[in-house]
Amino acid sequence: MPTGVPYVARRLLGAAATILLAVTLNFLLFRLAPGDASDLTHVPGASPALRHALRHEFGLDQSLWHQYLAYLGQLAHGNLGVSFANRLPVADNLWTAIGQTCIIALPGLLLAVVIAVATGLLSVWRHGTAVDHASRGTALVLYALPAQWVAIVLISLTSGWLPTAGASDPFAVEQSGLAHALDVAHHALLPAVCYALVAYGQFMIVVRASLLQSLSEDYILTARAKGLSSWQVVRRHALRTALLPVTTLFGLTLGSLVAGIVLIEAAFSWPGIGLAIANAVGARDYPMLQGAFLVVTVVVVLTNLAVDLLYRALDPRVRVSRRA
Amino acid sequence: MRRPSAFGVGLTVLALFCVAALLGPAIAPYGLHEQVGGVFQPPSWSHPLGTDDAGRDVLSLCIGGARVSMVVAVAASFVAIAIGASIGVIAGYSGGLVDGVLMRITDYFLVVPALPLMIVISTVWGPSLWHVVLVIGALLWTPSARVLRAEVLTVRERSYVLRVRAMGASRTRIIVHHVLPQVRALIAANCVLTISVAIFFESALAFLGLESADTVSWGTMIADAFRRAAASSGAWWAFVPPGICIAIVVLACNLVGSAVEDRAGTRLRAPRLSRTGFAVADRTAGEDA
Amino acid sequence: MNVLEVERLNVEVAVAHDGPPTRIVRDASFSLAPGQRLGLIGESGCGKTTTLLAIAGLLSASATVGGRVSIAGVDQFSGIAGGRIPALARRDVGVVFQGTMNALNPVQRIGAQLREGLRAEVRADAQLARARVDDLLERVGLSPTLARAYPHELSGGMRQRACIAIALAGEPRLLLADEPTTALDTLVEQRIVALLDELCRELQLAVVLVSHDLGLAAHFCDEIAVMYGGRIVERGAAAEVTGAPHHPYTALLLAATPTMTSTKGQIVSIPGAPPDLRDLGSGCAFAPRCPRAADVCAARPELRELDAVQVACHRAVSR
Repeated sequence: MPTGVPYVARRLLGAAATILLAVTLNFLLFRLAPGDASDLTHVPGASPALRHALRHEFGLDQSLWHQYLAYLGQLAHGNLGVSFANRLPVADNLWTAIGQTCIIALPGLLLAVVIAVATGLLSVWRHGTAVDHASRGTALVLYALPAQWVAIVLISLTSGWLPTAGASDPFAVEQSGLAHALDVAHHALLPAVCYALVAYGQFMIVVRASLLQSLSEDYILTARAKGLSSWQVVRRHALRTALLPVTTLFGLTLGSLVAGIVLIEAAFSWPGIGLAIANAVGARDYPMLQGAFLVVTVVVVLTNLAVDLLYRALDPRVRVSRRA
Repeated sequence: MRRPSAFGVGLTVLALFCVAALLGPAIAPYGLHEQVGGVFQPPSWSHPLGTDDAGRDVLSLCIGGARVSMVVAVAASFVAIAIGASIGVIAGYSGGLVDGVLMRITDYFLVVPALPLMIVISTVWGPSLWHVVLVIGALLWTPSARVLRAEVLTVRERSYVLRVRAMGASRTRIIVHHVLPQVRALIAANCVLTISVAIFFESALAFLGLESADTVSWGTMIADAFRRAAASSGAWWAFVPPGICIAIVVLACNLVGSAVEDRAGTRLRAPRLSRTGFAVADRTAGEDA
Repeated sequence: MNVLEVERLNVEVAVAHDGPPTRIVRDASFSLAPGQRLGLIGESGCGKTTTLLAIAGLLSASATVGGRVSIAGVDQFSGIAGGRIPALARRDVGVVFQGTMNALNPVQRIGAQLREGLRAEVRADAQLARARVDDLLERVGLSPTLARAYPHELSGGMRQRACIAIALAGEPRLLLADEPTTALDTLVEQRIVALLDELCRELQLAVVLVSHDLGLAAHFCDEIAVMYGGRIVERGAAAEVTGAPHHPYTALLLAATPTMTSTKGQIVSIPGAPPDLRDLGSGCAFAPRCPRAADVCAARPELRELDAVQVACHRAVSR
């Protein structure tokens, strides 16, 4: 890596390279599949002439390199193709889906982080006691359970008194704005809680380990020697240093968070990007699948980038070594 | 009496599940595709875990499903370790450009969301158990590659490795005889931890219908129970046991994996602040321990 | 009245999670008058730092203390029995740790870390607090502009000065210093020692200095206590202890200390390793490494008066 280039520029370049790699992989995966895309469309009894016409229409008779450039060109215009399933542009479908995903993912994550920090703190505070073992055990078990299983258990536990499928009541027509929002919130409750539970396990383990680490540092002794109260020591000295590395670890757990949202949306039929992926698998809707994978990758790469830059903005040590 | 170590507990549990996977059909009370009772029958003496939507014995399915789940997980983990170890060792040992390129690729696979990529690949390839093994294996190699590279970097500078290199030993020989023995524990820890991740992904792919329909694994059991509305019909016995099996294996893997990692070096940390503070002995001071 | 009184201090620490507690400090007793300085000397693992942490009330939850520590007449351990962290008389105590290590919070500015150590009434007045922070920094030879700096922007010696400033912020009467100059280079070490010396004299501070460096302690302290295997094995005026050591361990430590004046002399190292505190046996802990060990050493020696010092050795003779 050239050292003269500022860190932010280097990171942006890296992220762009990762996305380009994902785009290329995406392109190749579908082109290098056994047969080619015209087989994938499963046109029953297609005559050789029709196949040829299809191949021509999709540009499959051109060289791979030409196809690749054409694909990049389309992407640059925001064109992700047309969904096989509902004949709408993939980009439009995904745009709606992302909004829906945010409705359950953001509150779920927020809930998970808040509880993880609270119980992580409690656990370290009572290090080695029954409270510590219990809260750590709970987190480990939640971490060890598959997301779809947690979803099914929640569905069976609440079946009858909470909606367990979809984002709104399909029979409610002409709802007012507020009523609709309440309906969506009602439907979102269970998937969001489920997501919080699934994400909580690993967050808590990471927060606990990080807090344990920072509470074992020498400066905790210095702070205690000043006569600060225990809570002051934790708040001013342990939490800040502990939560800084957690921000980067959050970036690293993104992969499993994405997996969780796919499974949970599939289980609750929540019309977000995860359900889009799951449905595309069932319907062999390749353009949707390809588009969704690309979008998810871009979101993950950008989130990682944001988390990294945030970390550097918050941690004075890195801030300065960048200048140096 | 000494409390059993986490390592011992984890290893015992894993061994039990491996035995179940090996003997599977032989120790299962009923056949895997045999209708032995009504649909969603609750647990009873003849069927301790009830029956599923096709009237099959859930206990038998759990034991039989262990085979597919464990084999897929272990095989995928071996694939991952083989790829990761090769890349890590080659990158660490070659340095320079090779190292740079390999590490960039590793970085990419570290951030790319694994499950969606697995879904894409298995959709394109078509549902098959071997595809699942290869896909999971091909995407879980990054951690072991990084760990091994770091370890190789330190090992290869140690004096005895420098010495044998000076004596003209070939690279392969040095890697096999001097580097690999050093990182054996780390490879083992990584392998076990990868098994736990692989078992997750197996169940996820099964849940999304990317495993062939006649396969019986813990993943397909959960998927079938979901699809046949076991949750809303109150048939908890159809999905609770396979989920618990997965959780137990994942926990056991983590116990073993972190115990091995701990043994490989990290020191015990004690917080320098806690609610209780230190204790004051009740007995009179000065007596000898 | 003595600033510090330590009477038969015992500390046990559970090293492993479920492991049996190990007794790190055994029956340590000493006291300090205002302005008096004591050096606690020994190899690593002899219990000197644990003694210091026990006095400061900074032991972790895995530790159990016995005996009595009182600072300025206030018993330090009486409040703990209920399982609470006691309201220690920490205001009367300042602690200096190894500043080059991790004794300063890496993500907090020096000024903020200093402000935290001020007495509550000073801290309450923002203007007064700022003036006091500037004053403290100047006192330890740092520019007041460094209040806005982060620890990693400072050199090792500057960080150590900041640590001293923090220790003094609460206007203590007792200063506990744990290896305050270890890991600093010789030149910086001398300056830091001179600074500590000047400040302690000026503020009439009683000092407990923990160090492995007998030469430094002899130069800085009035009195020296040599620890081995968790016990004080020799104690007395600095000149007496370093002038004509009675305990064979002290003699060996002294021989192993390079002095400023005689760098040419051969440096002796003490054969063997420090004892395993989990398994000390019933005799003299130093006997296995002692050149003068004899049969009597199978019984544990008590501290006894000999010449002007106290020594725990059967073989020590008056001179």
